[in-house]
Formats: sequence, C-alpha cells, structure tokens
Amino acid sequence: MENFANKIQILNYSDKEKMSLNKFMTSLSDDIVSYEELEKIYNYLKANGINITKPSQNKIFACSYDFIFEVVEEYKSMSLVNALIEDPTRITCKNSIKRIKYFQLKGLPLTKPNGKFVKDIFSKTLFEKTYGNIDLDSELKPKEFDPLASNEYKQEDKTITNLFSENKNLDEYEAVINAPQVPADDDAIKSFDKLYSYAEKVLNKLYGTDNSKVSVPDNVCTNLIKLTAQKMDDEKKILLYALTYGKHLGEEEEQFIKNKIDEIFDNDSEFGQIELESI
Amino acid sequence: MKFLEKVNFSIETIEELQESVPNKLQELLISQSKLVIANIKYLQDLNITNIEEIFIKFYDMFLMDNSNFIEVFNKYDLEDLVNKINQNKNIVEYL
Repeated sequence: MENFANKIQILNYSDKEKMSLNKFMTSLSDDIVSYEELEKIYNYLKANGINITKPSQNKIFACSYDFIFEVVEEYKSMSLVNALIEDPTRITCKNSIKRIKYFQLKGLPLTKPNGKFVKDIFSKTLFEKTYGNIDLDSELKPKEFDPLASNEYKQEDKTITNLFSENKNLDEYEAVINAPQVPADDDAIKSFDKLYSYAEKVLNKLYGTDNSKVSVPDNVCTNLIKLTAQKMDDEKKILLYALTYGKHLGEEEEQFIKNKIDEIFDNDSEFGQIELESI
Repeated sequence: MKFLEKVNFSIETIEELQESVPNKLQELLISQSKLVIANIKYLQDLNITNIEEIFIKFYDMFLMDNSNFIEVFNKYDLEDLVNKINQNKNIVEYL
C-alpha cells in the first residue's frame, strides 16, 4: 500500500499548496521514492537551506539521495547554493554545473541585476541559443601547455617585416598573432613560462574564486607562444595582446585587464627588488 | 523520450528533458508514453501553444490518469483558461 500520507506529512505543505498536490503525486509513489529516502533527502536539503515548498517540486525526490548530495555539495563548493534555494528543482540537472563553470571560465555574470540567476545556466536550450552548441567537457578540461611541443606548429622563418607586408592593417603584435608561429628558443620558452604564470594570475584575479581556479585558455596560450617566440620586446604588451586579442572586449574590460597586468608586474618588480636587497 | 516526437516536440525540448528529468521519471514517462501522449494531445486540442514549456516544467503531471488530467482543466471556462495559460505557463501549477 502506498505511503502517501506519511510522506505528505513530512513535506508539510501549506493548505494552499496542498490544493495542487494531486497533480504531482506520481513523484511521491513508492516506486519512485521510499518514505525513508524521502525523509533523508528532505532533511538534508532543509539543513542546507533548500526548502521544498511546492508540490511541483516533488520531482526532486525521484533523484537518489547520493545524486542530490553530490549536486548540492558541488554547488556549496562553488558558494552557489543560493541557486538551489531560488529553485530547488535545479538539483535534477547535473549539467547546469558545467554551464556554471563555463560562465565562470568566461567571466560571464551568473546573476541578473535583480540578483536572480540567469536562466541560460539552467536550460540546455536557452544556453545553446545564446552560446551555441559548445562541448563543455572539452572547454572545461584543465589545459596543459608544453611550449616545446608548440615547435610542432608550422615553422616558417618569418621576420616581423615580412609579417607587416602581409598584414598592413595590423600593428606588429597583431601581425605576429595572425602569422604562423616561429620556432621558440630557450629564451622564448623562459619568457613564455613567466608570462603564462602572469596570465594565470590575471585571469584568476578577474574570474577566479577561492574554490574555482581559472585555467589559461588555448587561444591565449597560442597567442603567448607566438609573441614570445617572435621575441616581441614589451612583456606587458605581449600579455595584454595574448589575453585580449580577438575577444571583442569593451574598453572598460580591456582597461581593467591592463590595470591587473600593471599590478602584477609592479608586484613582481617589488618582489625582485626585495630579493636583490636581501642579497 | 523520443516518443515525444510523435506529438511534434522539438529535438531541443527532448534533449532538454533527457538532461533534466530524473532517470526514474524518464523510465516512467517512457513506459506510460500512451498516457502521456493522450494528455499532451488534450492540451493541443485546446489550442494551448506553450505545451513544450509546460511539459519541461511540469512533466510529472502528465503521468496523471487521463480523465483526472482533463478534469483539472475542465473545471474552468476553457477559452479564458487557454488564454491565461498561453500567457503564463506557471498558472498550470495552481489549477
């Protein structure tokens, strides 16, 4: 015999909400969730501030406790449990976590000015309408980059002068980015290593959180290796171009990145000074 | 959930459902596909235009027995109700 009455007692819906209960009873049937499992899930959610207040949210109980635990803990680790408090049924879709991470990686705002979470995160259809059909698994895979391996790029010995003649509308940094990569020597690799770590710092200052680190995207790596291999002289400019070229950023955002780069270079030179003084 | 193609649900909607409906309910929706389709068709016959959105939000409701499902809507003036639902799918929850 179905154990609806006891389950409904746990859920403790208001009288108004109870009126719509009959439409959403299937998710409370014993085939879907036992009384014990429902109680365990309900109490765990409640302990995390996630209250089930409407019968249309009953569908959550069709997920196992382990599944729910995993999802909620993931949201907690991103300090985003509010998204589940706002709408507990978001728990049923694990892929939303990938979309949140993509938003974080790209520095896109997760909330609207009114503080509510943007719907694109929680709907595959809405997300793809705006951002296209992105392979989130590969986008979110931690990027590893071996500058030595990048010598496998098309190796053409192009001088900057040659590059300019081919790309007259571009400045010299843009021209290098748009040209095939030249072989990187030891100095270029050293310079790349340094600027890569700076790029990581800039991106994490801009988009990272304590719980989620942002890795350097492939295209930024490629820009960096091209510019360092070509021995462009201004390191700040190399970093700025590597991070911003082709990203269609607004003036304000570009200025913000510029400031972060200045900050990181300033900190680095202060640190170098202290080291020298101590010697 | 491919059976929803029979009632002209878009591929996008079906993919969205496959991603977000808990497995146990997906299995139930598939095994009860005739009932689900009958309930969807009832709404289509009423000229409700946002059925896919309603289904994404309230899919478990479509597992109701067909006569009970019809009763949920039949309590109201149907022309007025359909207009309201087409403007705001969320009212389905409180019928």
